[in-house]
Amino acid sequence: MVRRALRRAGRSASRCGAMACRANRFTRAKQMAVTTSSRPGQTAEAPFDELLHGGPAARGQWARVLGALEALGAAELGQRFDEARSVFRNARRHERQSGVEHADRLPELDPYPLVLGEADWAVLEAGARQLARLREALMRDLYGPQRLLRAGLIPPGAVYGNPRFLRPCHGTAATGGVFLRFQAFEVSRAPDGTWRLRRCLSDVVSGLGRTMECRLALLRQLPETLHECHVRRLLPFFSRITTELHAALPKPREHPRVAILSRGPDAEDAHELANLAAHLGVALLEGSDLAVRDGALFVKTLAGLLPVDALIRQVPDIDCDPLELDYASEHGVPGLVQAAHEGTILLANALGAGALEDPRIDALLPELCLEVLGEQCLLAPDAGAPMSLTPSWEGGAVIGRPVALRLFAHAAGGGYDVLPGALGFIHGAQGIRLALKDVWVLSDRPEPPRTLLSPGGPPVALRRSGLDLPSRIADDFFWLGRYVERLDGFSRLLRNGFRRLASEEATSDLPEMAALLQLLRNAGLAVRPSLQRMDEGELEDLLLRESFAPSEGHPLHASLDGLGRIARRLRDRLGADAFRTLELIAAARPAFAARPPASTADAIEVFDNLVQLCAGLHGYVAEGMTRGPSWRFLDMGIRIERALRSVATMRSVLDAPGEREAALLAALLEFADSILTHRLRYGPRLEPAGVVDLLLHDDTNPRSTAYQLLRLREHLQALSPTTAEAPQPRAELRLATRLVTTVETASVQELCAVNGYGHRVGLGQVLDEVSRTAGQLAYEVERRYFRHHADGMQAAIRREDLPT
Amino acid sequence: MTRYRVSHATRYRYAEAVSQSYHKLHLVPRATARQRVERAELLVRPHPSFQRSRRDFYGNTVSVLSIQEPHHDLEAVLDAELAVMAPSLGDPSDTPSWEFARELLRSDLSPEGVEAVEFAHASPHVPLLADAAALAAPCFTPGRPVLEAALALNEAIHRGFSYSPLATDVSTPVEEVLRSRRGVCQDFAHLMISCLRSVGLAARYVSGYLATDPEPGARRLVGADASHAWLALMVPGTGWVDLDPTNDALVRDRHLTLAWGRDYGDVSPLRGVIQGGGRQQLSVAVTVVPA
Repeated sequence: MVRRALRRAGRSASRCGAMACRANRFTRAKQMAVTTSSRPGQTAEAPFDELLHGGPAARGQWARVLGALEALGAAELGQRFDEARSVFRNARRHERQSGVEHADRLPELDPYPLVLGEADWAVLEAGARQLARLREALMRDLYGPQRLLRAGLIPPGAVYGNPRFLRPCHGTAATGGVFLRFQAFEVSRAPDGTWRLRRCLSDVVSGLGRTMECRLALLRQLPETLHECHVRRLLPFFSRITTELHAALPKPREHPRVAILSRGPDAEDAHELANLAAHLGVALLEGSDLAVRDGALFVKTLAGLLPVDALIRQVPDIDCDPLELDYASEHGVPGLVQAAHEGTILLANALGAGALEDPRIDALLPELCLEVLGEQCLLAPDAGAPMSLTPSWEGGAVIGRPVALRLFAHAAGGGYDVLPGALGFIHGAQGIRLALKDVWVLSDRPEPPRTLLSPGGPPVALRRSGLDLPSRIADDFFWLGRYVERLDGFSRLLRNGFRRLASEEATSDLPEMAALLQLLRNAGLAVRPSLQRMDEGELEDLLLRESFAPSEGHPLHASLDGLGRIARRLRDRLGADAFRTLELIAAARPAFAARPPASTADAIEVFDNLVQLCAGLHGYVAEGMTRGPSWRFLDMGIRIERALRSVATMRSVLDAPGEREAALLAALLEFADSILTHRLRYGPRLEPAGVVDLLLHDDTNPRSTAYQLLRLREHLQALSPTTAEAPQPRAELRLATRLVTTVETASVQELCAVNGYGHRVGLGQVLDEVSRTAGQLAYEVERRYFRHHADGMQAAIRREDLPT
Repeated sequence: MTRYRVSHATRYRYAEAVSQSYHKLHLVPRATARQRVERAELLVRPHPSFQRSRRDFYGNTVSVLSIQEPHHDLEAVLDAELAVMAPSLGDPSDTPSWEFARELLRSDLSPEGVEAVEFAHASPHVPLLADAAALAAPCFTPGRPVLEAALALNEAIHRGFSYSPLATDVSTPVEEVLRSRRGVCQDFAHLMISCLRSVGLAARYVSGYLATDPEPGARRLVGADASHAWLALMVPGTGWVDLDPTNDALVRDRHLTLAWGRDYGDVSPLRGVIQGGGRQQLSVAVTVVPA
């Protein structure tokens, strides 16, 4: 029989001839003839074949899946696989850019599912459940009586010689009755077909979010296949996590506060955790959002400190408390260990769990299983056997690759629930992990339909978003608004500059050019002081260079960077479309760097695009956001920036009218995006009074200064209304009122009056006053709402008295 | 029994206000087989908004507290009365060989035996070093009684290293002490622990005080004493034996025990995390007088 096969896949290609043959029927994969053929009668060393073990026909559970996939047709299937892979990869652009490639955080999806039947699953599920119970018992003993050490079952050195045995955590009780609420086990299948344990996760149990992402990627492409094949659903497992957490809380509460403790948006697991938080419906927080008071944990919010009941810990235990654990940690909360001793907080998992992630302990598991549980260990530790091979989709071809699975368990109903699925890891040469894989556990019966939104149980208590927004998040929304508006302003300004370069008239003949250049200089967008005396070519070169050269601290680039940073931090709080828009904006920066626009036309296109993207975000702010505090802070950021910009623009253009004031006024209306309104009101006539009224006073014009100030005042009133107990408006609200009054009480005629030296002194005074007060207001907002999160705790190792 | 009154005051003065702070203190003396704690009061100012005591993994009393009001000064004062007696030790040359002590650590599953293993491994401030093992080697000749060998090492460190308060600080690593051959009691304790663990024995760090006599004719100066550190070695058949390499002495009834752990890091008298504060000034006053 002529065997056709595959490109060599590391050490493991040999047994996949038949697999590829079978796969080839529906993939038309490009394949190479291979001269080697596998011998019948495997040696003990030959890896197990997930697809074909035991005969040329695909193993039972695969037949169903292959049949369904084949029905799609080879071309269609290939297209869907490729699509799943590229969607998965694109969602992970940030991680690739950050340069951190943690094995768990692989950006690649191998879309070819691994299929497990009921028999295999029964073994894995029972094995995972058993290991979870066993390791919970070990943890309980290790951080309690340590009987296993005295009984000689665990060599004391395996614990005391392990720096991850956290002595300050010894003696803590398991809040909610369980130390290891989440556990994961990596397994692979040995050549004899038995499953073996490779590694256990007890401290930071990562990968749940990833597993869900892999499944969603395939669900999007193959919804009918998953359904027809009765692939077990993952969502019920996730729903039950929250239910079980709530049932285990130290203090019953109507609206318990559960959060994921993360290492922040720059950590390699940021994307996964944002997804997990969304799936579980819990907040995603960082150490700096939290504080321990009186032995209990709180989140710093706009409304002050609010109690936190449970933390799903995604920060390694050693980093969780700079007071008692690693002094240098930046991700922890001082006093958390004491809170654990107090039993006021449910930590999933308990601090100190890292001590169990030790190969010495793993090797002892079978023996401990017998001694502690009185049971035979179902998943014995692996002794270096080759992993089984499974079909993998690579570059349009199906090849056999070694695979390992990560199984997940969480504490439920006094035991453990096991996720009916797994995170698969495809391995290459030297055991390097190449890609993630969705694992399908088939059921003989169709799965009952369920969604995340209907977990059953009592009807949900209605809630509105309130002031329990973490201060850091409010801060980020505020700056998101400021950056978006800044970027919008810069883009419009530069676009105006380039448009004039592209106009028919010589730029030196344009009366507004001086004002425009002044604005560019004031904004820091062009640094050369003598722009006026340049000819057009020089000016174009200069603007192109200054706009797109990646110079440090350039305001355009700083805004782009700021937006990218904040978008990552707010990922779990922004709608998917808004996040995508922000990603597109942030992508502009690397795009400039790679290929800087070389002509005025290119530049105009770039800024058109940025202005459009900003408009998209403004649309989201206006129509897509709930009117809660997040929206208020975001909108305040926008309003402050826009007020500052409108004032600065009027200041440069209107200060000293020359002979050609009409042209200047036209340009001003253009900069302020108010040409159309003005034309509808005044026709072609351009008088300073009409323009000043429209741009400064008119509160129906969403571009006017007055409009911004009124919105600001509304937001501040809503955020901290004056009450009978606190009748005095706060500083920031008083400033807003002063701003509104300053503008409202300035008469247009007086503002437009020109003094003997040709300057509009009154206008200058009012505009300067507005600019100064608006800056003060921004400062007060920051001080009032964000301060306590902003100046972080500095972990100071006390230089204690030197013993002599 | 000899009675002493101990006063240990630690004061921090901050250049700028500290808006809130968290502290962890090992400042309450523990009772031991040869030390009775008659009275121990720990007073912290400003008044902590939260304060708790618990037993740590080693049985020491650890106090955890936080201060939530702005402050420019922090003061922690221990006032205690202790009764101490000298250990009753046999002849060091009658103790088992050091090799026996080393092997016993692998097999002894009694509570004391298991506990000793905790002090036989490297710890954050005490790495196991070839140079430390080499320093110990001339003392640990084959078959030598373990306590005799340890006393020889105690003397060797006392002789070979000079006491120099300015040469080191709390974070000086053992490697540096081995190179410079200078240090203070804490460095010598860490060094000797490293030597003992490097040859396979169990040794723990002890923090406390040493009672001193004023010069004949001079008045005792209040606050002129200092906190002290030494170590204890696990000797089979005898238990933990305290050794003081700084003074080349077996510990008798002048060493007052505060706490013990694997090294300084487990029992540092006062450490904290603060917000604000700027530059800080530390002053410490210790007085130990016969009661």
